[in-house]
Amino acid sequence: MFQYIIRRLMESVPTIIGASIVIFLAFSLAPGDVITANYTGGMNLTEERKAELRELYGLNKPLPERYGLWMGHVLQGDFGQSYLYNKPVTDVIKTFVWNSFLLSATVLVLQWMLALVIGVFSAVRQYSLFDSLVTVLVFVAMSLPSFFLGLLLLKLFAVDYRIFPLGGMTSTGVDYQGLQHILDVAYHMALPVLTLTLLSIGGTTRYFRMTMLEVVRQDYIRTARAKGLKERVVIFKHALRNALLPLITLFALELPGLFAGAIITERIFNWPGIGRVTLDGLYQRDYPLMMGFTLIIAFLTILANILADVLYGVADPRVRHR
Amino acid sequence: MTIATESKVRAVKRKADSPWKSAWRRFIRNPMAIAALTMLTVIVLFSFVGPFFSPYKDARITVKNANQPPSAEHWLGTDNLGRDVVLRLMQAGQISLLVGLMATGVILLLGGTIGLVSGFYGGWVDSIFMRFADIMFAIPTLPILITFGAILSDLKFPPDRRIYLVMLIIGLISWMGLSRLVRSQVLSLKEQEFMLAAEALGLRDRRKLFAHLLPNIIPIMIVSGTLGVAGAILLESALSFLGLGVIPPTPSWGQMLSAANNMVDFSKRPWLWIPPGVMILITVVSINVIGDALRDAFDPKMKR
Repeated sequence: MFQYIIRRLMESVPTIIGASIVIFLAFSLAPGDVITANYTGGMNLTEERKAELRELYGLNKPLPERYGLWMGHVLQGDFGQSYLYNKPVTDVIKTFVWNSFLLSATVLVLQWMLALVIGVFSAVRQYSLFDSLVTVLVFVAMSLPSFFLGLLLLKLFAVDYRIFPLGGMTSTGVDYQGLQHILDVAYHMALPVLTLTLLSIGGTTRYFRMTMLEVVRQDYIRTARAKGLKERVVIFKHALRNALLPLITLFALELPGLFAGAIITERIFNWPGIGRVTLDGLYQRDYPLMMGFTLIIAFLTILANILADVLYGVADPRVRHR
Repeated sequence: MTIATESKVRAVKRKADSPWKSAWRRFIRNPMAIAALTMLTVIVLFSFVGPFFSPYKDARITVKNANQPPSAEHWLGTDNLGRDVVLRLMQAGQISLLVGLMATGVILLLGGTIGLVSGFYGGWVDSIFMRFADIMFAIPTLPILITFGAILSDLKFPPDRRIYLVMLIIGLISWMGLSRLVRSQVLSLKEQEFMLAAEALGLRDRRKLFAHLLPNIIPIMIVSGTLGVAGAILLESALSFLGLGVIPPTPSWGQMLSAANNMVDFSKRPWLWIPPGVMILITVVSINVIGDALRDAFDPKMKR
């Protein structure tokens, strides 16, 4: 197992290098840079000043050299300087990523708990009214555009009925401490969490239902029933445990999403998370920030892939890693 | 006697339906699929035929009619330039559906070819392509998509041609799933006897690829393609909503929804952005249901 992990890690080195090249090229070949970006565009810079600035930021060097420089710094944990915030990229990410994490972690817990309950019940009562309803709603949830759902909820609960705030993470003008602060953040979190949970719950429910349906047809379930076990024990102890196996992969693959932020939802609810910051970074051509963030997520995704395979091997002894 | 034999022969014939025919039969027996297909047909007709029946199709832009709420003349009101929202929805539908279809074309072409070639030739060709797929999979979709969108904005492409680039970009970042599916299918097909026969007959690679392997992967391509259209429509709408995809004067549903970025339009004029959102939702749900039903139809083992 240890050898397997080492081998997988080694194998992923070329992948991450490839990803870094693609990311670097996408942002370097993009026309326009921080000097021509919107917020300096208003200032009338002379050509000489522009050239000076480009030299200062190292934007006038040939591409391979720039890539080498960037990667060299990245390997030392230095992702460069964010133009927009005038701080190191790592600091910017550290400041905002935990706000995104708070949101995504809450969603992940809610999503998996609800999907488990709904998926299991819908599978146990296959073809019932509840099951058909779930099947239809799952399709709706999977097809909702994130921004439309977010806007609808915002309109309904923040504009028409002023139950929840319009956006942000804390109330402006007050400085709550302790418990009050936590409650205030929770109050601001409600709508974005609802949006993201509704969006993600469809796919997960579908998986739960599918794997449960497969498991309850197995012989050992019939045996468990024949032994005279209570249906509750059969379903939750014998069936659910086995149904969870393939879901480990799905779960591991969702972990990088905890740090990726939700670009559109955060923007709609004005949530100060990493997703909104990246979008601002994009509009302002803050490429070091975008590149650093995208590379980190790519790296986490590759790790999550390995984690998924390893966990699956641990949980299911029938799978042997060589 | 003869009649009896004849009917027997006929019965035997009927049993041996082609896989296509039996898939189709399973498909139309699925009530949800039929409902979705009907819904989608209505949307396509609404978008492509509807404009001919709109009384506003030749209307000039008259700003004095701007921002009217829904009324008997304008069922869904008018936008900030006094254009009829229903007509705008139809025109936007043409663009959104077209972008979805064309982007899927790119996905099928790229993903299908790469998967077919990787699976068939194996070796270093396979390693390179699949490693590249891994790389593309690792890069998060939305950041890279909006970056390409921003690049488009900087290139100052004429708005009417921009949609072609949007299609291409969406295709370029979503072909990997299909290529993996096709590759694994080809790998398992290669082990089957008919491929051994093809080998024994000394058929050329081209013939093996196009005459023997391709027909067998078409069902996956159809299912993935259908679901791909839904994904592409969603991606396009997200991109256009952020102002980085289709831009005015070309309408698309996502672009119409970006009206909601304006606080006044958002809170006071819901008729500008709720209808396009509902259109996206209905379209994508229908396509997803159809894709799912097609998967069940082609692969009866999967079904329940």
